[in-house]
Amino acid sequence: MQVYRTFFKIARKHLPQCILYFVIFMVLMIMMSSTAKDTQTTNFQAKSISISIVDKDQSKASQALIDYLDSMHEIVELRDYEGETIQDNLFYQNISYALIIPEGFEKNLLNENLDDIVEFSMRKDSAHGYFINTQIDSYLNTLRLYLTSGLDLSDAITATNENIDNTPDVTVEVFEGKVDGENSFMFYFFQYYSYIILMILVMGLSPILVAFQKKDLGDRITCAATTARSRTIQIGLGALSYSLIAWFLFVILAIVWLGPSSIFSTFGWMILLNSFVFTMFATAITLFISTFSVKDNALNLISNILGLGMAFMCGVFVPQWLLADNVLAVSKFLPAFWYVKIINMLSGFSGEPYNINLYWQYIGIECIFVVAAFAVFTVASKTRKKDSL
Amino acid sequence: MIQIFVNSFKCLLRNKINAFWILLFPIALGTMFYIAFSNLGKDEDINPIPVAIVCEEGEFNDSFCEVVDTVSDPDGEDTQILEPTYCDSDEAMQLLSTSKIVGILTVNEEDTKVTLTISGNMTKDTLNQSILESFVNQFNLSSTIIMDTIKNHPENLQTVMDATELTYNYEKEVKLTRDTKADTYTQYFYNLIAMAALYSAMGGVMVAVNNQGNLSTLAARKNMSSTKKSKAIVGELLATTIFEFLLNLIAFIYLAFILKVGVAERLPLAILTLYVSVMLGVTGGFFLGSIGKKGKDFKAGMVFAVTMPLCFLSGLMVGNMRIIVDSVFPLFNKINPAALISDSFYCLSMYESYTRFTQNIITLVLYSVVFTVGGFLITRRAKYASL
Repeated sequence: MQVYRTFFKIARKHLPQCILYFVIFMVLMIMMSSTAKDTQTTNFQAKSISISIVDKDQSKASQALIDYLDSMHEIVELRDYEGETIQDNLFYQNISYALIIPEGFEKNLLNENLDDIVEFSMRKDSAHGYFINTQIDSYLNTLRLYLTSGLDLSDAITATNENIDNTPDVTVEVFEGKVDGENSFMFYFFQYYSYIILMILVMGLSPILVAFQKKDLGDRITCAATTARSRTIQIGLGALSYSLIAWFLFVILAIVWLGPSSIFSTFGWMILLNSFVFTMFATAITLFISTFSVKDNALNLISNILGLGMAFMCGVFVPQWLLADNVLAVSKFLPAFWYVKIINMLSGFSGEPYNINLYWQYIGIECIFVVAAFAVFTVASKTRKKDSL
Repeated sequence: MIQIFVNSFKCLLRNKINAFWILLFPIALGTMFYIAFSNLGKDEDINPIPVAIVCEEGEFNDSFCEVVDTVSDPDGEDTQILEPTYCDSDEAMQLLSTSKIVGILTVNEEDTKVTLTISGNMTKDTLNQSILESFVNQFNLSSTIIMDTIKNHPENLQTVMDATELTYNYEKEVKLTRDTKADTYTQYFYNLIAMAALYSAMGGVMVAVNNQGNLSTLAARKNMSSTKKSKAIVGELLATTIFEFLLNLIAFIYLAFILKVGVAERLPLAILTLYVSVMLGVTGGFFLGSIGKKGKDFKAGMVFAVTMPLCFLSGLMVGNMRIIVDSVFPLFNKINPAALISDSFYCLSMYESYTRFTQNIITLVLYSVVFTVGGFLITRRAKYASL
């Protein structure tokens, strides 16, 4: 096992760099999971949208409209209500709609001067904005009709609110067993893990592997009595041990951060297995990349192309169900797709029903990728050895 | 100096693998972003909502169907809201269970109400379900008002009936931006450009390492020559900046004119932004490379360690990161180089005014100056007893 031992000797030399990467990625991981929004809904609730309101009228009618919107949506206070601040918040989706109630709103309402009675801004063609507009329409319509029917403003507001409270409830039909999706942090944590582990291995493990490929060193190693196969296997084992340690560190981080009760639940175990299989794949890919003995500068860029590319195509950062069908058709050929699919299924994010057979099927597909990637690595390393002598 | 510039430019050009990766990096990632986002934003677009309508015979039913007709086949500029299928309740349930429709609208002739049934499995369709709910509510509200009026103020019934016929445009849209194609997803491309530009720091690190005698054999030899160190470094920094800028420019042109992702608003200023960003990257790398005695591997690692979190905090991975940072620590967006770069592109496409854009660019230039001067202060007069 000389080669295996050498592997860790080199690894020790690279220790400061590896620690650097681990720290950055752990911090990134924690930041990512904590900013992830909880998107799931188990009961029907009219969609709550973040809106901002500027009330320049400060009247009974404007307050009634605000109360109505407040009862359904989240009203976001902005730092100020300048055009640029509102626009920034709209663009970066902090709010989806900004309502401005101009001075004279109540007067115009009573005088039936109703066109353009309020002003709004929204993102271009936003269905959220359209949705809020329908609600304002329906509120103002009701109020107006009550005013027409002969009620005064206060009574009309009371009647409108009562009427709204009495609208029939929405019936929700549930067709298949749904998953109770607690611990959403755990699911996000492991969703981002697929990106993080790929980056860590490519950036941390590759320099070690590349050391074996240095021209003179490589030629000298090849002269030794150890067979090429044994060498490849030992290097492979070294890489596997390295990634197992990395995986283990992240599992510990998960346990410390998310609590043992969620990690050691049934779903927790299933996700651990999933992340383990994916780690194996990441190792195989790293081994494969290293056979090309790339320089550090390029390594940085390659790892990003691989990591970010796969993450965006397979739905790590952007939910899978938002991706176009033709994108998904391509990403089915990437293991991260199946990895994320399992997480979506277990968490109930995508609405896909939980099914144990599907789980094993997806894990199986990932295993095929692992085997294929290892096979490609052995072939590539063999071809290289031949070339070099 | 000119000679140094020309020669180091030649060196950079001949390192084809390096050039290849610098160029491929934004192009490959840009293409993947482009493909991945091709469908995004569509969830927010207004599309007709497929519904099933289950009717009973009667007057209330007729008036409801009339309303459905107006919103499902509107004339002129109005948006189509519904895509109705008229069927019986079993068939409707069947459609709902296979997610072919978003909801079932059932007309209840007896208590003059329309009820809505939706599927609990279609959680990702909440917005459409909500729009349906508000549509149904609006209809129910009007019918309740008529009932109330009959009960309380029957003398006004006709006025109210007439009033229900009237429609108003209560809301007036106020545009806050220039006419632009940029949407929320464009910001991922702004950040990609920022990241690629900041990664040119790798070139800056090389300049530093190749001029510090204790870090590379090449530098040890160069320190022997009679050329002034400052001259050599300025020449190499210039060459690296221009080289990296050209590669980034090609990638930028690819994003702007082949993928057409909307980063090319006010082109000359956008290119200026790109140049300033690359300059910041290279000088920042030079500064980082000048500190300490660690070799180039570790410093390349440091470039990554600094760049990646900065890009993350400016929104490379999470689209609304900028606003989150703004709410926690607003000053950070004003000093984070990645955020400054992406915000410059954002300002160019959004706002008529140049105030914020100019502020961003000035900050970026200041950074470059500080980094260059700082790097010089660290490296100058370095003497080696033995190499």
